[in-house]
Amino acid sequence: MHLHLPPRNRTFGFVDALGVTGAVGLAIARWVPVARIVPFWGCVLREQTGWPCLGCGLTRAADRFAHGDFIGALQANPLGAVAAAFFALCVVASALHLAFGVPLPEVRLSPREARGARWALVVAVVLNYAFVVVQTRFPHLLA
Amino acid sequence: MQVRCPHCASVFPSDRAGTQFCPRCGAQIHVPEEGQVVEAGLPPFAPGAPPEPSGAEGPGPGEGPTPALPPGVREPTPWERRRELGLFKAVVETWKASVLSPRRFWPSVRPEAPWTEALLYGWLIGAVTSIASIPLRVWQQRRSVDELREAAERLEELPARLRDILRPIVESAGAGTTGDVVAQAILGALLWPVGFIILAAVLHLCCLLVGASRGGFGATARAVGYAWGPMVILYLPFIGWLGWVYAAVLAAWGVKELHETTWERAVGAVVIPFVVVCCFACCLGMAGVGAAFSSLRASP
Repeated sequence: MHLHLPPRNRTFGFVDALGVTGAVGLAIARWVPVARIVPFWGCVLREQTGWPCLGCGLTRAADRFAHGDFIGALQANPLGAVAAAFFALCVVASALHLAFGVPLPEVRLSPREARGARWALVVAVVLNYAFVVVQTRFPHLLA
Repeated sequence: MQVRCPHCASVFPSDRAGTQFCPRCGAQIHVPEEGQVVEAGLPPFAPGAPPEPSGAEGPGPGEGPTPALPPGVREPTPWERRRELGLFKAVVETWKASVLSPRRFWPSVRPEAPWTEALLYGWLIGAVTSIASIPLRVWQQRRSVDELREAAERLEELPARLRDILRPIVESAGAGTTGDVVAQAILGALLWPVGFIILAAVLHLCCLLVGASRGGFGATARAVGYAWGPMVILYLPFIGWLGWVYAAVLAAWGVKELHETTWERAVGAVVIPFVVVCCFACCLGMAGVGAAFSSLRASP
């Protein structure tokens, strides 16, 4: 892994774009009650079969994170809470970068490391889904 | 002067400099002013302009070391030469090239040029389309209000539970006024850059996931901006959705050429967000249909 710290700059880059995305997403989660506004909001799979889908709990995780309930967000969907925290971090980093020119570190991964990172993401998604399934179907196992 | 094509290595006579096509292989090449022999295509990234930061750069599985640079001459798009061509001609030429000749357009786009140029082009297309579509949207809104009014009258004939589900939808959908439509169009035009940045960020995340991010965020943003041409038909009845589809095809083409990756990876990067959105929309639709059916079953 190669970590590089560029000189002070205010160039709008990928982290800033993620910051904008995070700011908009977290603002919606904080002030717009999406689940109440959009008709038929909910998971069809869970309603019909009782089993959650891969995305179950993401709305609750974003909503709880945006309201400062971090533990609640983790309980709703751990990976969703981590993603929300990542976007919040991007918002702060982007604000510092664009306002004060704080340089953002550039991470370069070798092809092997990049492959490893992708596999780690796949494993994280599977583990997260396993947690959501256990929490929804077998909550006594977590008690 | 004699010119050597960087693609097929054939040598042919030419009496002028500038961009032209090889008579043997048909590839677009650039002949320098001085009359030297063209030996190779221009590198895709300018020296001293490193790729922008990203989390998982580099070739993906099975790609091995950095592949040889593809042949092709990269040059400023007509939009980026608008001072020389004039604004109107620059927009029209860029639109024609990106929408009608993508095979020739995308390999010529420079991935390292400022992505704000593509944002400005896309914004112009998006804003003009949004404002120009106001009369059509007002007409459509009036028609749908009439239809919803009729539907609201028929609601009384439906079973009570189904009526309770549909009433808020019908009432909220029919509540929009002409002013709302105009405000929506103007707001949409003003906020277009925010949507563009979010779209580019999501697409670049997907590019990182599939290992197609060689050109950095700027290249992805340029692919999104210059792929916006087909969106001029977005508000046309019945065929508006084709604008999204063709824009997605062009974005995939742009990702392939600007990140110098394979078709599989480029299409994968563009399709992932579409699949997520489609799954989400299908879930909402199925939930609606399911709710309607279960209420019908439960009603006496």
